[in-house]
Order: sequence, then structure tokens, then C-alpha cells
Amino acid sequence: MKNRIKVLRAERDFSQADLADLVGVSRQTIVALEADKYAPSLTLAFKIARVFACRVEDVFDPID
Amino acid sequence: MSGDDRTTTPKNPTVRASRRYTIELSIGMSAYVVILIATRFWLASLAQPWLTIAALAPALPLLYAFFAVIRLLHDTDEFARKLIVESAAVAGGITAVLAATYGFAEGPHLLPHPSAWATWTTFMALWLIASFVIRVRYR
Repeated sequence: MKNRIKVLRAERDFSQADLADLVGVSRQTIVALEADKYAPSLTLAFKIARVFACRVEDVFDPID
Repeated sequence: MSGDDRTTTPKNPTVRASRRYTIELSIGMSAYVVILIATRFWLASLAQPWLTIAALAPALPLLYAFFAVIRLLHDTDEFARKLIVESAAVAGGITAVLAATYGFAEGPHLLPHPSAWATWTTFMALWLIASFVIRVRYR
């Protein structure tokens, strides 16, 4: 699953650690998400979208 | 955004769970070493029922360490949980296949009868290796 986390994070000047703290996960989780190596649960996807004030589908694209 | 201050309790639940796990595992393993050395030292001079109690005493801190792992699984984030479960499943699967294969060779006395410790140490070593390999894969 593709996502725009890295772009959205850069736009808001968040580090991976900042985003990890905001959504309550480890930095390693953010690294795996940005590398498209891990598809998050719905709960985590909504948390991330909320941090960026976006809709889930604006952050995650299920179609490769 | 502020940096991570190691002197205070972190707000991030995953970081908090990880720190608690490190502390609990350290306590468990330290207690294991102390109890193991102490009981082995006195084992020869003990009579029943103290011999049985002393022989089995090192299992208690191992049980504590096991519950520390379970607590980490419960409290950590979903990705860390996936890594732990995946590496334990791989290690458990390989250990099972190795144990069964060894058992087949042991039947007709092709191989010696090993200690039960062999299975435990094999699983722990494989879990360590699998954790490393799986973490690298997800980077």
C-alpha cells in the first residue's frame, strides 16, 4: 500500500520521531510505513490522517 | 517538538512499553543468574524436599521474564507486535522441524539423546536470529 506520509511529514516539518510520538508508535513503525513495507491497521491509518488533518484516502492509497 | 528525555516517563505508549520491558527483562535475567548460581552451589548439600525446590527455583525468574514478553506484546504498537510474533513463529517452526528431524534420527540410535535444554537454547538462538533478519527485511 502506497502512502504520502514522508511528503506530508516534510510539509509540516515533522521528524519521524515526532510523528511516532504523536500517533503513539515507535519510530521503526514510521520507517516501515514510509518504505511501504507495512500496511497499517485502520486505527493507525486514521490516527496518522488526523495528525495531518487529511482524509485517510489522502494519505494512503491501497492501489499500487 | 521536544526530544526524548530519558529521565521522565515517556508519553509515547510504545516507548514506555519498551522501557518497562527492558527493566523487567533485566530484573528477570539478573534474578535467574543469581538464583541459578546460588542453587547450583548448595544443590549437592540439600535433601528432599529442598533439593526439588532448589532445582526448580531458577524457573521462577524465567516465568517472570516470559510474562514480561507477554506484557510487551500487549502494550507495544502493532508493527512491533507483528515483528515479535513473526520472529517467534519462524523460530518455533524451525525448532519444531529440527526437533522432529532429530527425533527421527534418534529413534534408530543414529544420534545421541540430547538434553531438553537443547530445544530451549535452539529456540532462543533462532528467535534472536529471526528477530534480526525480520527487522532488516522491514527496513
